[in-house]
Amino acid sequence: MYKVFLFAIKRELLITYRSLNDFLMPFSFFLLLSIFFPIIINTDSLVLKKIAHGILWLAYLFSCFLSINRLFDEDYQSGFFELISKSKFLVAFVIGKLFCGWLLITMPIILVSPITLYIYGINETDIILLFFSMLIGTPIIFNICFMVASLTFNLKASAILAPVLIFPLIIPVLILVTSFFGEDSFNSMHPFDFFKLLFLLFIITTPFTIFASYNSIKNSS
Amino acid sequence: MLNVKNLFFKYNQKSVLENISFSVDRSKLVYLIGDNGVGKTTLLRVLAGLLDYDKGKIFIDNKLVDDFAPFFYLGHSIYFHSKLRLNENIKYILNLYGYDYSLEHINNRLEYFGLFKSRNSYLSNLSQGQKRKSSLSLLHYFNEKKIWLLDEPFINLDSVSKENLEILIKKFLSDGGIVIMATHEQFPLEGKKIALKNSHV
Repeated sequence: MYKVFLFAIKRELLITYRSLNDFLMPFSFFLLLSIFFPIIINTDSLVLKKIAHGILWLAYLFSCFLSINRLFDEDYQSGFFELISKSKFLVAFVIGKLFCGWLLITMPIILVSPITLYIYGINETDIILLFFSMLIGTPIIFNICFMVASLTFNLKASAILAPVLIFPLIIPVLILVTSFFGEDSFNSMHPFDFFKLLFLLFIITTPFTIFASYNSIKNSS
Repeated sequence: MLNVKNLFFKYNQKSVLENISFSVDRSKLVYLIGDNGVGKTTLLRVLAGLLDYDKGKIFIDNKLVDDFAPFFYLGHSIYFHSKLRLNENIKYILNLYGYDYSLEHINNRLEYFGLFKSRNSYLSNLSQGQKRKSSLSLLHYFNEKKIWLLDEPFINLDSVSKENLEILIKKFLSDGGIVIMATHEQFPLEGKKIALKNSHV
């Protein structure tokens, strides 16, 4: 089982390595959106500081949303999912794909986010907090996007259905992660408690994501 | 022995398979024949567990089939990723089934269908025939399955490859396997013919 998990990761890494354009697309989208936003808005630095975290989380969500179908499209269209749907190790493949997808789409964004926050004039403490909250919080958003993408990859109307399914699930998470940096009750929460809350949400969403994706691939034909 | 009893399958409220019953002994080959759209591929996919049938029962050696693990279905799809080389594609498919063969071993097996030279090629550099032979190469690794379900396997193959496939099928049959093959006109090996017409056998 563990070996199959590693094989799935190796396969995804190799595919990504050979399709760098696809790999760089979410990263460059995130970078452009977060850098252009303060230039285009042309507002005072206080307003920018207030909205910076929200912009970054939203930019991450859209980057994720734009690129996640890539993880499923070709494997479905080539018949690969059909071929492996009867493997007893399918769940290990799904976990490997989920982990690798998060790593490849999200990690570059998390690493570059502290640099982009400097543009908004955010202080160092908040940058460190945001870095760790993204490290723990992005898997929740990724889980939801991955789950919805896995449920819709074999549908003709997936381009319409996916956003409809994603947004009701994602809005509470976005409100939670951005509120911590705002001026409401979450602001008084100890960062460690906030991270624990995010981690708990990650633990809750992961089995649902794995189960939904497993079932979707198993019945993809 | 495979025993299919009173199998029914509907798609979009339209009956595709109606009351299909047949049996096949071990080491036997069965050809599924019939016009286009008559349900040959659907029957193979139902037997492979890729489509859920509405009614009926499938037995292997008098045991009711519940997980479809004894079946191996090879359809018209290519199954390979365009960003992986031919031998890598086969390796990862086998890996996901729990087999850990080296690339060297896979390369040697590819030679059976004359694909050794194309072992490092990407899908876009292969002809239709080579793509077909590549997916047929997977048969080498699934000979512990009890039943092969092959959907028009001889299409796009040159004469040498056809002979090689026949040898592979014969070997599987002699080891006690069952082969059910959907085909239009090619019957290179001795086997029972099951004709599908108007959703019936």
